[in-house]
Amino acid sequence: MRKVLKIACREFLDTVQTKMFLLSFLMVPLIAGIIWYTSKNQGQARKNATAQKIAITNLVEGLSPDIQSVFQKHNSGKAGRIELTVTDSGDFQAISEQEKDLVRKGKLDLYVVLDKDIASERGKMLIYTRQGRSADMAIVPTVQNLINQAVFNLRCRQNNVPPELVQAIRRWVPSEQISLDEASGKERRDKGDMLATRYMVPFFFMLLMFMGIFSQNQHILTSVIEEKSSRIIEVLLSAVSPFQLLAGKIVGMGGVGLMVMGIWAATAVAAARWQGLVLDIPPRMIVYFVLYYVLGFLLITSILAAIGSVCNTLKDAQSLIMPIMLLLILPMVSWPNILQDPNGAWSRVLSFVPLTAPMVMILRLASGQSIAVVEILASLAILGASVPAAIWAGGRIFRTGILLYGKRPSLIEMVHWLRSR
Amino acid sequence: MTALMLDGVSKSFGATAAVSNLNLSVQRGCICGLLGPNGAGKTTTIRMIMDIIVPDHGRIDVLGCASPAAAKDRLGYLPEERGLYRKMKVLQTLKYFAAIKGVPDRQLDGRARQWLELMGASSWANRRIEELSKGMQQKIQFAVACINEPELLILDEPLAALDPINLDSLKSIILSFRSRGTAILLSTHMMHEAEELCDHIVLVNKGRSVLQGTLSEVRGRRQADTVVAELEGDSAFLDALPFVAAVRRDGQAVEMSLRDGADSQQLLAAMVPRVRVISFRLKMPTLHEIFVRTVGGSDAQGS
Repeated sequence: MRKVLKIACREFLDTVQTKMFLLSFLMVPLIAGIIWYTSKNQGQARKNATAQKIAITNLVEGLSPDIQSVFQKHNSGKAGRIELTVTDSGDFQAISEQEKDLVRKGKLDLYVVLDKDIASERGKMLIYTRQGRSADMAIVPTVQNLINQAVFNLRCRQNNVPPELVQAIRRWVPSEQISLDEASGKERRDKGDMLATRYMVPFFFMLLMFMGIFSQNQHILTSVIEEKSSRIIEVLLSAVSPFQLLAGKIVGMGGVGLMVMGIWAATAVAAARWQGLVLDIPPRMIVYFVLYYVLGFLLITSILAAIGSVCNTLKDAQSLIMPIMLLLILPMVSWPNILQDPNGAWSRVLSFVPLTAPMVMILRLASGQSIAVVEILASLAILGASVPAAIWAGGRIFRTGILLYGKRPSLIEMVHWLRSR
Repeated sequence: MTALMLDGVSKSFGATAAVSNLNLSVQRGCICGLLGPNGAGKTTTIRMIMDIIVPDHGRIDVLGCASPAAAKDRLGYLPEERGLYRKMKVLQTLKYFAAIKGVPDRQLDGRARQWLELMGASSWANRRIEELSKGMQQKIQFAVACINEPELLILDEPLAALDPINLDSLKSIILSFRSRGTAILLSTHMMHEAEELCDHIVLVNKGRSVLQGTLSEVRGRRQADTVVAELEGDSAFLDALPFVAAVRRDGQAVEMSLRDGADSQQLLAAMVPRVRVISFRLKMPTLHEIFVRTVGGSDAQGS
């Protein structure tokens, strides 16, 4: 046991001291922070951006003042400024060619032509943009909206209807969402933020699980392959058994994983508090998380150690870990589906596949939907049973593979090793 | 006292027998040389002793333990395929391996520094392994093997690729272990080193032991093989003698190889009436010659 701990200790320090580790450790919260910050400050950023230049050629009689007034109102608001030029007289053909040319050269962001009969009949507005500049597209709906408002005002005037009246008639009925908790019977008002956290918390839990299991991959593979390719393994095996070595590695890496996730989770909670988000995480979620993480980690690590032991270079290992990675990524790509229907067939199936169970189950558990206890226990039991099986098989392959140099053994050979004494 | 005993040990990999029915024993305070050509099964034998691979048949008794695994902390092993963590510092490396070889925590630092001193590497304590020269790395590896002060030391090609100064210093360390009562199994290709260091020789070929005994026994068995004499007079009669296999002349000196079972006394008796014998000497075969003849001979038998 002392030997296992010594190996674990070395493995832990060795991993923690690499630059790769430090980078990935800091990158994850940093990237999350940046995404959060930019999405929160998008409105602010738009306001500070340089004004968009728009030219409108208006063929509708009497519309120009309305256009000017709605754009003025827009410019005094929070959203980005628009610099507007409206033309309603002169040689339209020539003006139109001239403006289009400016759009082509990028001197004008948008050029709009309003058909003569748009207020009365089914005329169109033609919007010209420069090809290949997707950033300008954000302005298009705003401009459409503003012109529609101007046309609305004109139509009201033409029909002698006060615009305020129409607005009062069309006023949207306000709504409020209240969620009912099955267990406590409490009623809770959902604000906008709450809806976000309701989606974000399960996703964050799954992401944490994925990163926790996934980020150790590279370390366990490099560690095994280094020992093999630099021929340290025989010196090590003169002091410890292959099983002690494997156990030490798993414990060491597990320690790294738990530490990293602890810090990430604490950072996330602290950041959420600071930003005023209400997180409502029941303590049993944390118990489930640790349980699923430890089991999932043990499973993956023993598989990876076995893979590493039969390979001489990281490149060799890539093709072998491919199918495992695909399985791990499956919950990552289908998380919205799982969250929408946590008790659907797809979610249930993935809960019983040992490799995907930790991520899918944590997503389902965090979704707030009730899941039958039997189902949780069954998923844990399948995962739990797969762990000793993987450690046993991984250990056997590791024991033989670690001393084998040269050509990578075939899968059939590895199956033979499982049966050997 | 016997530190290591192999009794009828065999191991096959698929259809090829790497080691078959090998018997071997090493006493405390003795150096046993395990000699043999490439692919003779030396490394396989050592790996079985170290419990890295499991023998198909036979018994291995290490330091009185029936299972080699139980004796691991009392063994020192320098494998032929050896390496260290490249990024780890020298002192750290020694302490780590001492720790997993069961040296108690409070002794780790002292033990590591003591070995650094012995290897003349104290100033390298905080260097990374990858910064060391190859010879220096080999010395650190040797120190790693010995750091738990083993009762049985197994060295696979410990002296390969060392300069003469380091060679002498490692040899003297090996000999000092012997004088302290450590049993040593030394595998090597270098016959003059085996001659210099070993008390006991086991020559293996194709997984079988072909020659075993103390150094003088091994040599003694071949004693009557070659005679070098200085003669005055016509020595042409020597070629006709039935028990002489070959005669090589170099001035007055004549070197004669005797046929199997012939006695050198018989040769002397045949010379005395015909020529004046100035000198007559039995030539001790070197281990190198024994090696070449034994291995070459068994190869000829095999084919």
